[in-house]
Amino acid sequence: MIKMVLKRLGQTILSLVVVATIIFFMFRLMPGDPTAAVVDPSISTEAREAMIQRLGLDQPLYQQYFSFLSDAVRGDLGRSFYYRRPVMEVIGDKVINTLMLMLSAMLIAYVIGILVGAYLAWKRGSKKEATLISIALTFRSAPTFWVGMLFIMFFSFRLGWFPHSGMRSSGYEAANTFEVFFSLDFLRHLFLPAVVAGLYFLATPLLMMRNTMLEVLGEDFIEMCHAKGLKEKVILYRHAARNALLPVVTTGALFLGQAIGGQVLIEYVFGWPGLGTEIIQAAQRHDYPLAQASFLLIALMVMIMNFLADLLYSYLDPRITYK
Amino acid sequence: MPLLEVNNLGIDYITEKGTLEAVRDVSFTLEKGKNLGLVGESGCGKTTVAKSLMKLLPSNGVISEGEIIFKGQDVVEMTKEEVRQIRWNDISMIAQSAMNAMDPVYKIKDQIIEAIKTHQPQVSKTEAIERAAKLFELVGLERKRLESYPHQLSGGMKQRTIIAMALALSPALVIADEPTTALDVVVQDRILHQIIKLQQEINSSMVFITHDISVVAETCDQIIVMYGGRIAEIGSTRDFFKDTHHPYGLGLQNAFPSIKEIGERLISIPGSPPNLINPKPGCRFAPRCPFVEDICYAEMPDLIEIKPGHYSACHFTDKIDQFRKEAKLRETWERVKERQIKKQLTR
Ligand SMILES: Nc1ncnc2c1ncn2[C@@H]1O[C@H](COP(=O)(O)OP(=O)(O)O)[C@@H](O)[C@H]1O
Ligand SMILES: [Mg+2]
Repeated sequence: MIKMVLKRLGQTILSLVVVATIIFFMFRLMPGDPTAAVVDPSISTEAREAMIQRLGLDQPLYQQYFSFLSDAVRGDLGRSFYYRRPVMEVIGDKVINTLMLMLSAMLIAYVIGILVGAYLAWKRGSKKEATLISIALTFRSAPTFWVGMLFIMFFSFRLGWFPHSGMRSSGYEAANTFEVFFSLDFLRHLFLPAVVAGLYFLATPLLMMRNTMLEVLGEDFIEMCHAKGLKEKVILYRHAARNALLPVVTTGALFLGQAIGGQVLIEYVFGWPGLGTEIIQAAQRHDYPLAQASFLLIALMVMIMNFLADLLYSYLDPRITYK
Repeated sequence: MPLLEVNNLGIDYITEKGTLEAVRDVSFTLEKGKNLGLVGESGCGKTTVAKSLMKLLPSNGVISEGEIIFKGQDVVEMTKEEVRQIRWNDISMIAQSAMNAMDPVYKIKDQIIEAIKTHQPQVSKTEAIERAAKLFELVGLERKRLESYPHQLSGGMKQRTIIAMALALSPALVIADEPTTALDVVVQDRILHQIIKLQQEINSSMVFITHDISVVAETCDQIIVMYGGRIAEIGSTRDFFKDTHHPYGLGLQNAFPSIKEIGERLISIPGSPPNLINPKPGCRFAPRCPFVEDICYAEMPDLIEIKPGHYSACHFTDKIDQFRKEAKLRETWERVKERQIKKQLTR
């Protein structure tokens, strides 16, 4: 087990270096002059050159690359060209905010998706099945900003149940760090965007669970469960769903990676101070350090999630052992 | 009252190509403590009959006619819940596919306990484990294997586990559906004897399914030879082996000679069992029978009583002495092959 953890750690570091390299060169191959964004074009040529020198943009590419890597190892991801502040200061909180939102959405999607998916397989060919699948696919196909606006209209303006935007009420001060994310105020703000994103994600775990369930239900050991005289509910949830869960968990981890990138539109519609908008703007503004750091953090998180999923998988499936 | 009485059983599978007449007119009785052998080639409806006894048919299978009286109650008429309660408690099954018959994510121990506790909730967990351990001892498995997961066991161990599980509640009827076909030839015999010994110990009846007719001779009191979903011949094992009356039964004995005849070369029956979707009229075995005559293609033979309890579905039970002599000869069956080839060419 420890050996496996170490091995995975090594793999993770290697992958991160690869990702960092790709990210570094990707941004430098993009068309457009970054200095234009950083340095006021109207200032004198001397001042401009001095600026470029100070930022290190005059050095050869490979030198820039190595100083980027060595800084990154020390946890210094540079200063944002645009904000003129350390990158970590700009996005540190935002990463957490996005993570909170997306984890909640995934949790909603996977809990509902797995339970309902298992049920659908049991009720194969029924009207209920057709209806529920259609609903899930509708939320997947509908533009999230539109669904988001409908929800805001209905649940915040009409019913007044939830705030329509932001992450906290203005003037709200958390009593301690715990309450920053686990206060009623935060959860009320979290609810609508998490549900809308969750509904968008729902179709994936739901259909996947349903399909693997159908496969599992055809296996010999399920017939044996029937022969043993087990109750249908026991067969459905303790045996069939438990086995069908395995592939769903794996894809869940990969899917989470996709989700962490942020649902930009959802963050936008709900005024959620997340990473999504920041990344897009950073790329447009040629704010290398900020964009690089964002992507690196996302990559890191995806890897951590995958690692956790592997551990979970080995816990769920006794046939998998790590040596 | 017999333990099990099956009358005129008919079972269909609904398929895309039409209704498949998997079982027709199957009737037999089984007394308490006795063993019934069900033999026939693959596709003759043995598994279908077996599964219907505990209403375990796949979703496209329907019992279209007949009754299955178990302990005086018709299983066909029972509700789902009533059937669920007799499963395993009264009728258990050692399935053909025991290799994958256990849930891969739970320990063996938990799967045996689950079977016990489902039907006897008053039994405590430690008691159930004790009982599982005792069963394991009986089938020759170490106690520590209870802690294993299914994938950690060999095929033979898995099969023994299933046997232990099948006997856990001392059911009145055990169905063993080709319990050893998936195993090594070396362990086949040992496991077979284990099943018989244990089953006699708990004094349960057994329906023993196999395509190897020689096994039945040693283990069963009664035999049913099935062909194309119908009974070709039924009788006591002694009568059957001494006095086989159906050409199919004769052919099977050639294909699976008993121990004393080993060394002779096997003669197999040319061709394969019929398609049971819109089957042709006449005797199902006619296209493969060396003694076929015109009437065989036209009329389905009834079961004819040869002596009390011994029946054969053949139009020519009176010519059996001649059949028996010829059936031992290779040429007889070669003729069938030639006939089949000729027919294919003219088509
Ligand atoms: N689920 C099913 N759907 C359709 N046909 C089936 C199904 N199961 C079995 N059959 C058909 O029913 C017939 C009897 O099969 P089976 O009872 O498995 O025979 P055996 O056990 O003697 O090999 C065969 O023709 C087989 O193809
Ligand atoms: Mg079979």
